[in-house]
Amino acid sequence: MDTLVKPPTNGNEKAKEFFRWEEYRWTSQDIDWRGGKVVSAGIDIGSVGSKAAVMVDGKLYATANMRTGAGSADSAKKVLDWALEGTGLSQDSIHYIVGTGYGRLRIPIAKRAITEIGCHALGANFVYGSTVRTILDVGGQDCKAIKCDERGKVLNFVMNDKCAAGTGRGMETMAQLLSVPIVEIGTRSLEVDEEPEPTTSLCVIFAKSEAVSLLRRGWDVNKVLASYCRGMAIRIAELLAHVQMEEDFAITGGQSKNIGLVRRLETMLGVKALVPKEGRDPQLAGAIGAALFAKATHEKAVGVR
Amino acid sequence: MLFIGLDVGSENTKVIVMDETKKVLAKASVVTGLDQRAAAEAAISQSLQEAGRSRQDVTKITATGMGRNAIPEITAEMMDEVNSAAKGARFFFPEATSVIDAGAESGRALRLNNRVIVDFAVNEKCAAGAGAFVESMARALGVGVEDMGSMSLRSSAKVSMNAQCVIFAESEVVSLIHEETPKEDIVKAIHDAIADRLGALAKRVRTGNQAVLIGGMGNNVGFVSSLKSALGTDILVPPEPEFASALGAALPDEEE
Amino acid sequence: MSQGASDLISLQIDGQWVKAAPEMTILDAASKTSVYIPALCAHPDLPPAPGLTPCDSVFRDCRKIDGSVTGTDEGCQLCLVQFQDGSIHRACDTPVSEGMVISTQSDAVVKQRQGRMASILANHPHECLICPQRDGCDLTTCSMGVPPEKRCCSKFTFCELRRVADYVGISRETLGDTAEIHPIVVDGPLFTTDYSLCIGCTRCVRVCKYVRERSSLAYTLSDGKVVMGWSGATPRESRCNFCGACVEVCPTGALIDKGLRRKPKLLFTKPASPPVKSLPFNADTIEGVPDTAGVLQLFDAQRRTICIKGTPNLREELKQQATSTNQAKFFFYEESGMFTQRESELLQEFSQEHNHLPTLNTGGDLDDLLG
Repeated sequence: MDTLVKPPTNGNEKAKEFFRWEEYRWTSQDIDWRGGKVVSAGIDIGSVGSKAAVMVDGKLYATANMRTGAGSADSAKKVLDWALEGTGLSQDSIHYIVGTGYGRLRIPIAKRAITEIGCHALGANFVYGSTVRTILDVGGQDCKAIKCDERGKVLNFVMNDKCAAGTGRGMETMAQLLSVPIVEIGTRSLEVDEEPEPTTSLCVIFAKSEAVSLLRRGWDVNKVLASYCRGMAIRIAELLAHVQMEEDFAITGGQSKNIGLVRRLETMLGVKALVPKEGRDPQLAGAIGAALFAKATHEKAVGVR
Repeated sequence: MLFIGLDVGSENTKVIVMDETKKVLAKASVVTGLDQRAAAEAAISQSLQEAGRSRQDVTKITATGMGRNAIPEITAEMMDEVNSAAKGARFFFPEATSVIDAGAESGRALRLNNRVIVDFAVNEKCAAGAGAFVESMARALGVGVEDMGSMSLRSSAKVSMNAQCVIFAESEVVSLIHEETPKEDIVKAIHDAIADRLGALAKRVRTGNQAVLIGGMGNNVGFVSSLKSALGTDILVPPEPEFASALGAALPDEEE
Repeated sequence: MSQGASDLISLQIDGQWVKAAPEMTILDAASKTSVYIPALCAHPDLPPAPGLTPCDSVFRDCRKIDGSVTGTDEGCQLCLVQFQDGSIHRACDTPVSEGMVISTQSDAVVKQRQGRMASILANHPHECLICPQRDGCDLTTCSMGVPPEKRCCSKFTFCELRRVADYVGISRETLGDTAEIHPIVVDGPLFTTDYSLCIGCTRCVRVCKYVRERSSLAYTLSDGKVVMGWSGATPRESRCNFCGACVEVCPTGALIDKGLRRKPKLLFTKPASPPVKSLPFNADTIEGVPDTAGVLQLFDAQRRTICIKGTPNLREELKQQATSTNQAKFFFYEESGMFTQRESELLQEFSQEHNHLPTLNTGGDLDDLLG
């Protein structure tokens, strides 16, 4: 059993780290921050990924997504700096920063911290539109089902953060075991002749042993991936059952980009997941929601609300 | 007459060879790996060689462990793990009131009343509370599994581990290392976490005053100490506890 | 208010003097003070359980169950209190008398209560109630390997039995496991009955008999245990008109409305809840709070939760909250290194009971920040 924990590398081992997803940043070409009234930022430090979203008057201006490092304070600074890279915008010119996330959270550069459930719901409302009522957030180390209203206000939620089954880390473990880059898992899991039975174990550790014996039986990698994605989808569907799903339904977090998981969930639930609005990244929903809260807090403070 | 007990575990395959007087003549442990049959064959031949006997002398091979169904070519005689655990524990401690079996990937606890199994609890759904956890953690810490026991006894400060899941615990250990927590304290925290979970399983069957621990984890003195604290009672550990189930399977039937 | 004041008698409960009408029970009198006496069978709108007449048989899922009418239900016996002379009595059916001095927390009473709680829980699937990983569990996957029929039902986060059991205290060592598992019965389109969860409190029988006056539900005694069921072979034959009163007063998940996920219609008085630990929300008490990481809860004047917040520095966060809100009158806190996780667990529990987050979490100053 491989461990995901590796000491700092000199870059040569990157090829063997199948669980590692690409870090990325983006700047809008259409907005000049200097012309904006309110520049706000949201930072979401997750257990696996750190995200930053910078908005100008409520429009996405610059974003970044990188792997969380050793401490949240450090990761927060790094991801915000990366988002601001090349924009000419400095941290001091940001009117208000809101932090959110998971774990022993300390974000000194944020003026305020808001619970990640609230940020995810508001962010999903932005990414998917005001029709969304049920949000599934599959993060690195947790899995949440959130019910919200048309404004993105949280009504109810259920989460699992105790077990790796149904979380991004579970998927990373499989990627590493089967030597498949994590971003390819979804598509490859759909390239099967027929849908196999799901892995019988929910536990990721046991699913790993199961995967190994399936390979011995002659299953090809795609089929094993399909089996695992199906098992994950079942587990997640059970979680959703706890909040009495209502349409429209949308998915946020890293696994929103796992097409193998998304399609299977849609089939099981009998519901199509919403497609994000143009240019809005569902993996950044938490940071976006935080940035929106930041904007509103600042406007309230200066009296324009 | 030779009797062989074969325990095909998820990590290791163990064999005990004994004669009709219940004397243990030899033992062997081989990594199970991907081919259970090959591992079983290897363990059997190794132990027979050590005993200086041959396959023809073997009267019966009884298989136990999670892979016992996977080796029909070797034997059709099977014993489930609950029974082999009970028999193996009672071989060393005839008055045992409960047996806690900490394997590589599952935990089970059983309650004995006058040598009869009256209750048992199994956890095969979750790897936390199993040996696999310790191995993962040893890797994360960069220490040898065999050193974990003594390291944990040297711990001087209490660190609590939040994560239940082996996979989450890995990242928690990484952040503890970054915060420069002494490794001894981390190892103790790991043992405490596993002991809590195994202890909770054991408490469901009520351990009584003679609780016996079998399975590879019995070799880990640090873990045994943590389990004693978790249960609040003393724990009896047979010599070479990882072979206890194989021994239980080997024992010729008793008339009671 | 002073009408008939001369008829009121005075008694002392845990050092608090209270005036009560002579026909009141000790439990009723206690509800006028800040003293909480745990009870599962007593209900503010119903006569007490002890003494309720059993029938010689009841029906469950159209099957007749014969029992005995010899003897009577003694009730849950959690409401025990101790008099000055050392004698121990039930508070729910003992009338008050002038000058009574009562202790609700003496060692003898606490011990007996815990023994009674253990007996009640022995017959009710309790693995989830005593699981150390209970908080934040979604009940879907059990990593302790507990089979589904022994786990808690959907009322998990707002179950009255759980609240009372937490308050009284559950001792793992004394807890037996004699719960019988029965299949869940669907008696009609509106609710389900899970007899495995019934603790024999007879609230449903009493509400049907005394408030609805239909006596559709009844109980019999079997080996001294209360066995609840229909008085007739079917609900229809028992004259049930599915009013749902029994569901509302049930303290466990034995009777559940289909799709119970919202606050039940409050036709009845809510029984007293175990007190919430709280401190007055002012500068002095805040100074006494450690500056470590943890989760704080703010309560309004009625001690309802209005905010749950995890923070790296409890004292600082409380100071900040003090300047930004004037709704909070009380607070409490827990120290916790993983404060975001603990915050989520507590928020989850709250939202499942109330169907929204605490008002200051996404309401209050945040509410108008949305859209």
